[in-house]
Amino acid sequence: MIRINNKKGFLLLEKSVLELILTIIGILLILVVVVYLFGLVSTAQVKRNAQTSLDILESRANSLEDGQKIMAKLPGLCKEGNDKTCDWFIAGWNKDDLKIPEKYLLKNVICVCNGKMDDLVNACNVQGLCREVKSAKIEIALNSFEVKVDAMNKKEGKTTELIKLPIIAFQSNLIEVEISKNNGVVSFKKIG
Amino acid sequence: MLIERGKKRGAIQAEYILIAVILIIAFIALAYFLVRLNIQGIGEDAACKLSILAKATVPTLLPGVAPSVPIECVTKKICLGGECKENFEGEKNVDEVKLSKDSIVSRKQIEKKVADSFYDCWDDFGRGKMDIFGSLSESIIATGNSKPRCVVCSRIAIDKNADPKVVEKVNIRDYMTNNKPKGSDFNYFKTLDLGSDSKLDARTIQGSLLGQSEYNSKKSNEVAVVFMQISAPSQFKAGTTMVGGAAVGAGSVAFVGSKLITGSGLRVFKPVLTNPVGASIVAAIGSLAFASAEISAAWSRADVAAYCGTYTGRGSSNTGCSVVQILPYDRSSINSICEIVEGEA
Repeated sequence: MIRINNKKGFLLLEKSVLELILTIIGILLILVVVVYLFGLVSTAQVKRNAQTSLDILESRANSLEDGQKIMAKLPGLCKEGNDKTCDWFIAGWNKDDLKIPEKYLLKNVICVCNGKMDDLVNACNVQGLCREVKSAKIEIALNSFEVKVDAMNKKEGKTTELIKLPIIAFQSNLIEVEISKNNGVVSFKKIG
Repeated sequence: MLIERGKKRGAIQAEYILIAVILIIAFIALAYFLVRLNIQGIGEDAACKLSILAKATVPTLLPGVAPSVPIECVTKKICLGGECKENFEGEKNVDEVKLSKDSIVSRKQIEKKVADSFYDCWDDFGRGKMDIFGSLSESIIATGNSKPRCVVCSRIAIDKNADPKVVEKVNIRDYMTNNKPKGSDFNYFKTLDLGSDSKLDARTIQGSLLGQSEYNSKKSNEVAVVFMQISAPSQFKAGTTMVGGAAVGAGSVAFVGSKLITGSGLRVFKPVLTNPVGASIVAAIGSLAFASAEISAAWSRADVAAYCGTYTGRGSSNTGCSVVQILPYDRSSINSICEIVEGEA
C-alpha cells in the first residue's frame, strides 16, 4: 500500500512540475512574440516618419522659385535624448558627383538615410530613401554636422579626427531645415 | 482541515487572478494588433487610445522601464481657412476647415477646433493619470535624469488671408466655459475635471495664430497642442514627501494655469511648483532646468492642463507630472519642453 501511495505521489509531482515548466515556456513564448511584434510596429513608425520628412523636403524644395526660401520642420527620428548620436540623417548628391546611391545616378537627389555616417553612399544604398530635386544643383551646408572618424596620422598612427560632413542629423525632437534657392542652386541648412 | 481548505481556496483564487490578468493583457495586446491592421475600419483615434492604454498597462520586464509599445498617435493637421500651403506643403491628411464669412460663426469655428484639440489630447492620454513613458526610463539609469517626453497631438494653422479681427476675438477660455464637448452634459472644464478658476490666457492662442512676434517668435501662424509627461525617479515616493524641509501629504491635483516661476536655475510651470507633489517631483528630479529666456517666455505664455500625482495602472507606485499645452509650432518652443518627441508626424 505504501509503495502504491508513493508512486502515485511521485507521478502527481512529476505531472505538476511538467505543467509548471510548460506554463513558464508558454508565457515566455507569448512575451517574446509580443515584444517582437511591438518592435516591428515601432520600427515601421520611425520609417513612416522618415518618409514624411522626405516628402516635406522634396515638396518644399521643388516648390521654390529662384530667390525664395522656406522652412521645413521635421519630426524626431531618434529614440534617445539629444546627447546621443542617432543614425538617421539627411544627405544630398548631384548628378555629376563621382559617388552617388546606385538607384539615383544622373539625378540631383535629397535623401533620408539610416546607417553609419562615415560611409554615406553605402548607408543610403542599404537603408535610404531618395527623391529627385529639380534644380541645377543642390547643396547641404558643410557645417551641418561633425563626426568622429578613424584616420591615419604619420606620427601617431591610427587616431580619431573630427570632420565636417555635408549632412543634417536628426534628433529625438524637432529640427528645422531652411531650404533656399539661388541661381538654380537649392540649399539645405539646419537651423539652430 | 479548515486551514487546509482555506489554503486550497486561496491557491485557486490566486490562480484565477493570475489567469484573469494574463487574459486581460493578452486581450489588450490582441486588440492593439487588430486595430493596427485596421480591421473593420477602426480609425486612427481608436488606434491612438488603445496604444496609450497598452503602453500604460502592459507589464514591464525591468522595473520602471516602459515597455517598447509604440504610441500610435498621428499628429492631426488642421488648416483653418483652407489655404495653409506654407505650413503643410508636402504633408498628407490635412483637415481643411472652410471658415464662414460671418465673423461670429468663423470665430466659433476656430474656438471649437482649438478647444476640441485640447480636450481630445488631454482625454486620449488618460488625463495625465497614466504612466505612459515609465517612471525610470533608460535615460534615468544612464544619467540620473528624467527626460520630458512628448507627443504632438495636433497642429493648427490659420490661413494667412483670414481676417485678423476675427482671430483677435478668439477666446478659448470663454468657449470652454460656455460650451460642452461632444457627448457630455457639462462644459469642457468640468468634463475634464479641471478647475476653471485659473486664468486661461486667451491672448496666447490669438497671438500665436496671428504670428505676432510677442507670442510667436517665428511668426509662423501655427500652434501645436502638445502632451508632455515627466516622471520622478522610482525611489521617489508619493505618500509623504519633503518640500522645503517640511513633510507634505501628497495628493493629486488637476488644474489649468498659465504662469511660470523662475528661481535657482529651475524654470517650470507654476502649477507644478505650487502643487506639493509637483514641487517634490521637481526637487527629486533636480535637473529639470529650462535655460534660455526664450524658453521661459514660451512657458509663461502657455495654456496648460496639468496633473501631478500618483499614476494609475501599471505605474501605480510611480509619480509624475503630465501637461497638455498649446505652443507656437517651432523648434525653440517645442524643444524647450520636449527632449524626446514620440508618435507619428
